[in-house]
Amino acid sequence: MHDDDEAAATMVHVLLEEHFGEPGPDLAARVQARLAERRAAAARVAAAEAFAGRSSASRRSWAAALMPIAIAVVAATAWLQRADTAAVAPPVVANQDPEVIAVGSVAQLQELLPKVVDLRVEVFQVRPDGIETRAAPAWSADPATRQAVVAMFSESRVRVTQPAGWEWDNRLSLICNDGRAIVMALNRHDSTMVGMRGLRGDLVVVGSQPLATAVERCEQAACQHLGILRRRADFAADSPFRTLESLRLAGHPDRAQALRREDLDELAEFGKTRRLDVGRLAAMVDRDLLATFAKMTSLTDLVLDGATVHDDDLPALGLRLRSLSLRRCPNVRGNVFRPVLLGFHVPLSELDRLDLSFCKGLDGVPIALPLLRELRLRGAPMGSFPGPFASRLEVLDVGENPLTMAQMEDIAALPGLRELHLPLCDLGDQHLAILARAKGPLQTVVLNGADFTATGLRALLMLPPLREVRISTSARLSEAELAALAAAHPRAVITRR
Amino acid sequence: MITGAVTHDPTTTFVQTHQHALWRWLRALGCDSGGAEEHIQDALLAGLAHGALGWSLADARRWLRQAAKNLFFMQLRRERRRPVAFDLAVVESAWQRARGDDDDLPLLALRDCLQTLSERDRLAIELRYRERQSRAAMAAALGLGEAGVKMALRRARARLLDCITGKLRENDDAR
Repeated sequence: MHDDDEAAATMVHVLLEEHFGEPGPDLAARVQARLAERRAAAARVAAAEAFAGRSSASRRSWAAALMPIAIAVVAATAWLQRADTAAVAPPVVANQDPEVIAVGSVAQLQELLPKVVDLRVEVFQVRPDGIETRAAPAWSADPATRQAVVAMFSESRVRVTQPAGWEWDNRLSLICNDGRAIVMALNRHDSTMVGMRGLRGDLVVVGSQPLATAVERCEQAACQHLGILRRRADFAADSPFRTLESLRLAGHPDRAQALRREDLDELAEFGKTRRLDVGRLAAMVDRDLLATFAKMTSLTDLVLDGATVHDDDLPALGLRLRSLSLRRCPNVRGNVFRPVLLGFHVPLSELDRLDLSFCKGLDGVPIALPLLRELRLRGAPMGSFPGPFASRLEVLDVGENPLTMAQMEDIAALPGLRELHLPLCDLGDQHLAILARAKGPLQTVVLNGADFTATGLRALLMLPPLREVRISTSARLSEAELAALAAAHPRAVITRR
Repeated sequence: MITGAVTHDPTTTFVQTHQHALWRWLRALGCDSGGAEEHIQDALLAGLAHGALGWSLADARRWLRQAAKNLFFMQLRRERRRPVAFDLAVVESAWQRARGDDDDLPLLALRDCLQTLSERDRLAIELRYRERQSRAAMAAALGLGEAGVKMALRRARARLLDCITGKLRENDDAR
């Protein structure tokens, strides 16, 4: 591809990531914390300098008196280290990265290898679905694996090659006996390629099986920590997954180990699972599997995003579920949630959270679930809005739907509404004027992508319970108007993205 | 992401005003998300130390963008890495065309442009970005080979850029 096209494609890629939910973190709190740290350090330095100015003479005499003790302590520490460091990893405080050694050559790496006392692997995504696993702790290898990996990097099994230029996926840290670390980045798709901090170029590793094994074991540890079930072996009778409360089913890169439809019937025996996400294996979901889920005695939250189930299949789930996500399910029409006459069996009647976002096939029948507290209909036809059937609704998301005034009136009339998401709904001042008469204890309103002016926002801010309003730069009001409104209504935080 | 909170604290307002565009800028340069977080914080702190609270919005934008880029390049040099292949002038040009400094305009244009894609291209984009599916899963869902998925995404992104650029130009003409 031409460079220009590639750069342009990257820009669109960045915008798409932002549009679909990776807009980047809010760093205000972290910057504030670092500022506070810097101010505290500056204050400590100033205090120390003041102290030095006042009593440098007395400090010198103290230093002279303490010198022999300090020498003795240093000598004893050195002796202890000489005895112990060959076998014991230095303590590394959790979440604190060890100092990284910039290793500039293979020779320097091989010089350092005898000092390695620990090997840690961190996987940031598991294969093949790319599920984020950064929240899992680093995996520390057993001595045999550590020795195998260290041996792999020794002698002539590695060579330097041109840098590939790809982004690194996983991290390998070889911890030395002085507490520092040799840090390498691993390509999760190709264990023969390694990037080492400090080296110009990448390392090609011959016979990288120990490394691949370490990564696979780390992946499995991360999966177990986060409840990502992706191997047939994970269904064994003594599997730790059976005791977890939250499970996510996923694919496995090795077909022989990957889950098959018939394996999933075992889930009926998972008596402690409360939350189950089957979105990654949506193609396997059928009516029989839904009946299996109904047998899971503790299951209350179910995610079936992308499944091709029909409305007629859903009653098989039984009555126990509290939360159901059917995002992007093309065959769901909404009939299963239609109003029924009193006394009729109402499937899924215990649901209090329902997500039907991007279900393009909803046919506009109002959702009539008596206990519903949270409903998400983003990008789905608005005809399914429950209206009079939503007396308990507290959280509502109807984003990406152009709203009419009548629909806005229905929303404002909800008696229990606390949180309302209306991004990209083409709202103007008139909509906000209606919302300003909301009957419920409305505290949070999300209005990104709207086109109102200061008049509309001023009206909305008169709503007594309001505590947070999120708007975007598309709103037609200046920074000065915004600041004036914020000052006039200090109880509500207005944030602009 | 919040980029312009109206609060009574000028530092928080400053951070929230600039972090969004800086994030987009570093990601466009090929910086990974972890690195981008670090560099944005460092650039903002450096800006605050240089008195950026008193600068105009445009000056602060320009200075912070340069600082963030320098920090990213320093990281690459430190790690003896070359950037993911790009020509800086070309990236700058794409940034200007897509109006990367504007918080909302390119996103609003993108939203409209997504509607102009064919059904299959839009599905490919949604599976990739909304559902974060692997290429293999996308291939199964779209009935294509993995190479076909790659081509479909490339084609869709090229169409989106043309459409976004056109809409931004229309917007400029209308002003």
